[in-house]
Amino acid sequence: MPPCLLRIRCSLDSGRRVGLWIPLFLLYPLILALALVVIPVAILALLFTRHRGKILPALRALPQTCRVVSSTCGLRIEVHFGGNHVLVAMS
Amino acid sequence: MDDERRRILQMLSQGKITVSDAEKLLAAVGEAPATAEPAQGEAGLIPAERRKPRYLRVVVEPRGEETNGAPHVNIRVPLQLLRAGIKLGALIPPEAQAQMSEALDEKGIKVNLADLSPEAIEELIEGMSDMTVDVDADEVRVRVFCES
Repeated sequence: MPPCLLRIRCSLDSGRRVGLWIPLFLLYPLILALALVVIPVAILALLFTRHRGKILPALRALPQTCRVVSSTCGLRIEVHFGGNHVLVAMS
Repeated sequence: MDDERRRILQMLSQGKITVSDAEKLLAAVGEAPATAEPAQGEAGLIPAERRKPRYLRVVVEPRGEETNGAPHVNIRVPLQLLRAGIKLGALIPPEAQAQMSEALDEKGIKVNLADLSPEAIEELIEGMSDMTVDVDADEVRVRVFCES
């Protein structure tokens, strides 16, 4: 299952704080729509240029890239150092 | 367990079931102990169910109670990401893989990326289920382990 939410939180020693909640589930339809437009154009561009041999690997890389993105669900990186705190979490 | 086997043999002797049915039933009863609760061992401890690890955890925490300035790191990586990454890595062209292996070799990491196969990673992940790396340094304690 692809991650639905990306949480980024930074709080620095200087007192500055940044917090982001990015609803990834809203981005997926946009990315899909963009992909539906871009992929055929990319395939045509590869066909009519000297990069014809790279079409198949590029097409095979697409589902694998989606799998990599889906696998990031549950990723959590949290670092405290001094007064600085960084959190990146995908859920 | 013996009662069940006796009952099966009784039914066979009474002709209520055929020999092949009795065989199947006895085999099922014979496999039952593996799926039932394991018997307690000498120490009286029931071993924990072996679960497939799902996350790789790296935890760095300060030793002692004073934590001022000491780093605290908590990383959780889904092992599914490793699997997917290896499969994606298999699509890297051989020339690029050779360049990457060369660059890693220069840093002292002798890894041939072409040898990394999904099967090898599965074996590695299976083996990691019991792995725990525990390092006690002066100010910090580092733990690397897998959790389900």
